[in-house]
Order: sequence, then structure tokens, then C-alpha cells
Amino acid sequence: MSVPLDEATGPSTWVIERVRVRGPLRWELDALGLVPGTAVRVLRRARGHLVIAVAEARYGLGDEVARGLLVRRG
Amino acid sequence: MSMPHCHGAAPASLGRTDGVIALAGNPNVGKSSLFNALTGSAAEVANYPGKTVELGWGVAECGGRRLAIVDLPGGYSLDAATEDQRLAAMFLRGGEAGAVILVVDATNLARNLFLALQVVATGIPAVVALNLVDEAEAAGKTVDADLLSRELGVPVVRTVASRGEGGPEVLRASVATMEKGPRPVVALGDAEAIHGKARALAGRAVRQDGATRDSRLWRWTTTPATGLPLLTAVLLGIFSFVYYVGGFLSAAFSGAWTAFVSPPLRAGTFAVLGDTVAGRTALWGVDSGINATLAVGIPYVLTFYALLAVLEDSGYLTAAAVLTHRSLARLGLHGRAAIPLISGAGCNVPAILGTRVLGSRRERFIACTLISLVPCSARTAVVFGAVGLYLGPIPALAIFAVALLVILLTGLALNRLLPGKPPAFLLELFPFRRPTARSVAFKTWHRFKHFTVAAVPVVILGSLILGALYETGLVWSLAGPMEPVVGGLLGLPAVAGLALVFAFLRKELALQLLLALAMIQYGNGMASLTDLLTPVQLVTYALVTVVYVPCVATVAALGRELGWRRALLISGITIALAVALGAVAARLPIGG
Repeated sequence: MSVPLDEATGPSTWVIERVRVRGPLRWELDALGLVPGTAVRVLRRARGHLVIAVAEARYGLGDEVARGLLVRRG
Repeated sequence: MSMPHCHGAAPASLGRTDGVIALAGNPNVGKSSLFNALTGSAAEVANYPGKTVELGWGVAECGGRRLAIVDLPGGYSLDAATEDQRLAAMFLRGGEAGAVILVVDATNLARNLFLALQVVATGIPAVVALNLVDEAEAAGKTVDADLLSRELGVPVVRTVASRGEGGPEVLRASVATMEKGPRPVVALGDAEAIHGKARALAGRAVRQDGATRDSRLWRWTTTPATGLPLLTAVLLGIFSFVYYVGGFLSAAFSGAWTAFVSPPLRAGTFAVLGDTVAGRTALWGVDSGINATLAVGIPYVLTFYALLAVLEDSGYLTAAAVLTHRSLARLGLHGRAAIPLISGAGCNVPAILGTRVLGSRRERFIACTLISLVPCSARTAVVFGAVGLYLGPIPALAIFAVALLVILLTGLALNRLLPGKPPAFLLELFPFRRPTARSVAFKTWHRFKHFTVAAVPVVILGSLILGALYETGLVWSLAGPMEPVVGGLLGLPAVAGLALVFAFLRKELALQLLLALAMIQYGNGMASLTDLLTPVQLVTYALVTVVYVPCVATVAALGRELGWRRALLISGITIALAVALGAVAARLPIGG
């Protein structure tokens, strides 16, 4: 079962199953590799944003962006 | 196949070239370092025709050929969201370059290969510069460049751009590939498919020995408990460095000008034009104008640019953006806006140009308005010279606190009033790296040169106009119409109003000009600001100077970036705020 990334708790590694975002933000997510099948490690949660790692890169993303990424346990 | 000649995209000032080679790649992969290594420091900046985005251009020699090298804005994809990244994509897809050097980060190959695969698929002759191989090897990674080259179908050259290693080899390879001409266009599929290919290719090309190391610096810099004190320390460090080092340079530059250049310049001008209105007006421009630039503008901007380059190259600015994102979102801004907002404390002009990294026009309008309210080094000098010197540091800091409050309230109001939504937050946290002196010097010089070329003519022209009004006595006729605001609302003497008007040309002159005008009107007894202004008037004057329209160069930058209607609107907002704040300050019970 998939959950939005901002609600994903428990293990720190997740796999993106679906992206519920359109328009220019979707292009940015695509460009950074935040696409279905990508493994994401949640490094830190803070009020309003997450810090995640995708392979060697780290990204800060707001809760509103994390909400658009549906993930399952990796 | 013969070499292409003089592509239309290259600026004419480069002279005749035998082709254009574009440098493309993700942000922060060493693209500018490679550009520097290929072209030396003789870079210049030119607008792309019809666009506000500027491109860095330089010339490199290779095998007797003179090549135009263009440094495209960093981007992650050819399907880009921001204006500068769209320009890079357009440049590559439009066939304006004879070849492209794709700068790829060897420490993060999978993500970098996404753009590389997209560009290679367009058919443009390409070479991959596999950069940062030293850092990759230090992290236990070995990248098989031959395998990468075979699978991508383009030459791959290992480089350490910060030390200039691999530069000549990558240039030779790009000339050779340019001579072969375009390759067939390849269909790649959607982003998911391209990332799948990139990950698979990186998996085959990279060998990892031992466990990967995970720096904790990003955690310390982005966690509020440690990050906020660090950010405060960084901002105070910037402020102190710019203030003290800039002050030292200011005294040195201005002293040298006054001692060695000014006397023969005055003698020469009077010999040609005589001690007439024309002669004295000319001296306002070429003597006082340049001297003021050397005393106030250039030293502070130069020191600020050096610090900005250090912060950029260290990777700290993206950590600061993550840390400030939540606060900036309330002002309708992306965390990325933290960088131009902070840089506005040096000079508003480059900070306004820096808002191009922001995605929407709404966001750029808000950011530009707030930057216009950020006290630049010239306004900081006015606050310290007027309030700090005569009333002490606490009232001076109080003025900065008021400026900060005005910025916050204006941002909150604009975010509420303007149609649209704040942007979604998504940002790469760059790895921390030790800045190299070579890269910092190059960036500082490149920006400083650009600033000087743009600002000095405006300052000289402004000084000439000011001088003409002053020498002909026309300046005094402006005092009457301004009396209701200057005397009535702000409680300031008429000469202060005139000084405020002319400080629009150069904010740094707000103090010197006020004293000069006061001496003319009231006599030489006006040796100090406190002879003319009471403490409350000093505070009012400094506050109005800090908040109202930054200067003519900033307004010109606003007009260029947002259009003249929006530039005038922002100017109007700042004037209204300045008058309102000044009217309140004038009624404060400050002793004296």
C-alpha cells in the first residue's frame, strides 16, 4: 500500500510508486530523478519540509511536494 | 567536414571565431571552473538576444583555431522550469553551438547522466568532461571512462577543473567531435525510462570500494538548533568583513585618487574649461563621481562578491536555503530566494539579477521588492555615518531592525495581496567543498567587472547632472515643492529633502551632499551633521534613506528584469513606506 511521502513513517527507505504532480514542478521532479521506481531515503523531517537522499544527492522538499510523491516500503 | 564559422549566437565583441562550444551540466559540478580553465580570466557576459538571461563568453585557442566558449546556466534537464534553464535547453536544441562539453559530476554519476543522455540524444556533437574524479576517488569510487564513452557514443575525458587538469584534452576532443558534425537524433522515452538507463549505466561504470561516507555538515547546517546560530554567525561575519575590509579598501582607494589623480585632473579640467560652471560641473562627474565610487561603491561590492563566491563554492548557501525555506514561504518565496536576499546586503543590483533563479513572475516581483528594501553597503554606510557615529551603535542597529521588520511585513502583505500561490519547495543540497582561491578569484573578478562596467557610467552621469544643478543654483528651486513632505511630514530642513532627492543617483552621497548643501545655505559653521540635525532628525533622515528607492542603478535593474511598470510600482512602494516610517520616526520622543 502506498502513502504520501510526507506521511511515511517508520523505515527510512521508500520507493516512489506514483507521482501526483503536474506542470513545471513535475518537470523538476523528473529532472532530479524523483520518478516511479526511485529509492528515497528520508534523512530528516522538519516542520514544513523533509531532507531526502536519492543515490548520492540530497534534496530539501516541502511538505506540499512530498505529498505528491506516493511511496511504498523499500 | 570544414569547421563552422562565427555562429550568430556569439557576441561580436569576441571577434572572429571558428565555432562555438557550449559548456552544459547540472548546477555545482565545476562548469564555471572548467570555463575558467579553458578561457583564462578574460570572460565577458552578454545577454542572449531577446532574453534577460546573461551568458558567460570567452575565447579558447586550440590547434590554431579560435573558439568561442559559452558557459550555459546550470540545469538538470532539457525540460526546464526556470528562465535560465530554459535558455540553456533552447541553446542546445537550437543548434547554436558547434559542439557541447557536458560537465558531469563523477561523485553523483547516475543523476548527472540524465541530462547527458538527453543532450547526446539531440545529436549535437558532444564530449563528456568527467569532472571531480579526485573527489570520487577520495570517496572510494572509480569511474570507467572508457565504458562510459562506449555506451554514450561520445568521448569521455577525466577532468579536475578546479586545478585545470584535463582542460586541453577536453578542448581537443570537442574540436575533433565538432569536425565530425551532428550525429543522428535518438528517441529516449519518458523521464522514468531515461533515469532507468542512467542508473543502469552508472551501475556498470562506477565501482565503489568500501562504504560511502556521509558528511554530517548538512545536518548541522539545516537543523534549526545548530543551523540558525551558524546562519547568524555567517551573516554577522559577512557584515563585519564587508564593513572593516571594505572600509580599509575605501580609505586606500580614495586616498590614492585624492593624492595622485585628483590634483592633475582638476588642473587639466580648469586649463581646458576654466574655473567656470562647465569646468566645475565636469569635475563633479570625473573627479568627485569616480572618487565617490572608489570610496563607497567599489570597495564594499568587491569584498562582498569575494565572500559570496566563498559561500557559493562551499555549498553553504543551499543549506541556508533549506533552513530559511519555512520563513520565506510565508513571504511567498522559495528557499532559493535566500541567496539573492542575502546578497542584496552588498549591492541590490546583482541581487536583483540573481532573482532569475526563481520560477514565477509573482515570486520575482516579491523578491525584487524585498531586495530593494534590503540595506545595501552604501545605505549601511549612511546609517553608520549618520546614526552610528553621532548617536552610537544601538540606534544604528535599531534602524536595521526596523528595515528587517519592514521587509518581513511587506513580504507578508505581498504574499497575501498578489494573486497566485507561493512556489513549491524543492532544492538540491550541494555537498560541502573547500573553495579554491582560483575559483573564488575568478567569480569575484567576473562579477565585479560586470558591476563596475554597469554602475560607473551611471554614477558619472548622475554626478554630472547633480553638479550642473548645483553649480547653476537650480537645485534650490526644488526645495519649495517638497516642503509639505520634507518639512511637514518628516520634520526635516529643506536641504535634507534636496539631499534625499539627489541621493537617488548615489545613496552613498546622502551624507556628504547634505553637509555640502547645508554649508552653502547656512555657512561653514555646519561642520558636522549634528550642527544641522537634531537626534530625531538624524534617525528620520537615515531611516528614509534606507527605505526609499535604492538608487538609479537598482531601478534600472528592476526595469530590465521586471519591466518599467513594475519597477515604478516597486519604487512607489518604497517611497510610500519611507515617508510613512519617516513621519512616525519624526514624532518619536528621541532626546537631544
